[in-house]
Amino acid sequence: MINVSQLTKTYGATLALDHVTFAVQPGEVVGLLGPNGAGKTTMLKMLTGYLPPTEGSARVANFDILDQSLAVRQRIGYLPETNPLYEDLAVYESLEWTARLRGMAPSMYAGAIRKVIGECGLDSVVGKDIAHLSKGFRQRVGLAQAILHDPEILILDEPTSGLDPNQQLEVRQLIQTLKQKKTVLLSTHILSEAQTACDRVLIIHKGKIVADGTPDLLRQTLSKGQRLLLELKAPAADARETLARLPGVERVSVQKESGAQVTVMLESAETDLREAVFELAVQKHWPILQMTPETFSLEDVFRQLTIS
Amino acid sequence: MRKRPVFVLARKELVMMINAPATYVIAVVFLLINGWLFVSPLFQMNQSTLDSFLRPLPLIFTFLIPALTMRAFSEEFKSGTIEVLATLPIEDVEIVLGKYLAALGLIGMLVACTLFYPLVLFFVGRPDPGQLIGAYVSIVCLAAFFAAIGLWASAFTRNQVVAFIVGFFVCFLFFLMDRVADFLPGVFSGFVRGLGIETHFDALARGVLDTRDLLYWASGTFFFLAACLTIVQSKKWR
Repeated sequence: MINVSQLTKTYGATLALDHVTFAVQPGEVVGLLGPNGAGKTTMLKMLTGYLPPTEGSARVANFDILDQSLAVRQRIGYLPETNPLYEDLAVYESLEWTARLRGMAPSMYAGAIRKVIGECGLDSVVGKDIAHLSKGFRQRVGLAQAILHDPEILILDEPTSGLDPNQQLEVRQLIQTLKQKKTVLLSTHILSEAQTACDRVLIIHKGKIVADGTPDLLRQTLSKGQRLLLELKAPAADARETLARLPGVERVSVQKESGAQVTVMLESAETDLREAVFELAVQKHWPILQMTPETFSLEDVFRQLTIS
Repeated sequence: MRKRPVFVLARKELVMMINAPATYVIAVVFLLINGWLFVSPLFQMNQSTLDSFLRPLPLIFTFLIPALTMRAFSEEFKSGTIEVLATLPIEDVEIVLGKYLAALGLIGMLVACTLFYPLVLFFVGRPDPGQLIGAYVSIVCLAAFFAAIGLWASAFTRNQVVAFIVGFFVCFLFFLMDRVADFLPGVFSGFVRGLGIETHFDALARGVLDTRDLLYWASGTFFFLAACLTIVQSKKWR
């Protein structure tokens, strides 16, 4: 559905995207994840025909983004990062003009507008001027405009940015309902959003794709080493020193200290530390109150890949 | 280029301009000034002509038209809505023409309000209908040219005030050229006078329909619309 090949974009001397290649299959929800300035927005602007690539090519819905830009724009719904809207228009007017400018016939767009108003929960603000809407409602209007013509592909640039947790959940639920019939490419720097809403995640850093896979696969393959959360009845300083001397332990950090109890986090490269820890505790007469292997989150993977 | 998106966009822009309070302020000021200019000498000179209304009109248009067009692109760039507009299935040339037609439509409405003056002339005297038609053709040509300049100036910047100043300055430059031409040596004088608006405006306003004048207005309008399109494309593609 989306095929990107060696796409590169430079702004003067700044390299925003560096020979990026990826593909999105029909029906997939793909998240572009990356820190601010990684090149996510540039990528989406190029796919929507707003910016030209410096090098490389891309096809969206089987149309070239440069040579067949109009055909591409007919088939996509786009929500820009800043969600710019015509403030002077009322919600209904804004949707009506979008439909007309998209070339929809009045007999077709009246029903389509009613549908998106329902889907995006805009019933209570239909007659209000956009200038008087809250951030959450404005985001919904932007989303409604993007899905009004029932596009095959949705390109959403940080769709939940600036929303409160309830509104974020609502937008995510809306994306989930849309994903059954559409291909969605969304950018975000909210990791939980990528984890819950996306089938696949592309981590982009300094204009390059540094990871590509499902959130679970990325966690498993890219998380280096193991972590063990340990709660002991032992003197904190002694426990820290002794545990640090165990073979394979790379780092010991005291998480909590209360009376005779201490909670530490052990990190190792590859070794499973549980047996060694158990034997040490028996030898030192330190009762183990808790020993839990910790899994790496997508956040840890993200930090590993994007912290220079 | 397709006609439909141009007219849909033009209608949207026109509705938005009509809904803006600033448009009414500009319209009221324009009609008050013109009304006063038309009425006050009419009875003093006892002549049924539009001269007193027509003569200062180019100067009034140098202010009025950039004021009406200053928002057209600058506001889109400032608020970022150009990104929405440019990612809809509309060509850049359709965007420029849609906005241009909207500006012309609004100016047309204002000029239509002044049709009351020739009607008055028919009541109080016997004006020459050919001259009146020529006068209004001349007004429309001037408005079309200045609207293209105003739109071009608006595409320059995100700031409406700067767009107005640039638009006014360029319109005023064309207004001044005939006057400046008097101080220039022979060859330059003819060239600069040919570039100025006054000669072409006066000829048409007298009812003299010359293809050279029509070509002047058409080529000037086309030049600034093409320049506007180039700026819009270059801003997007930077």
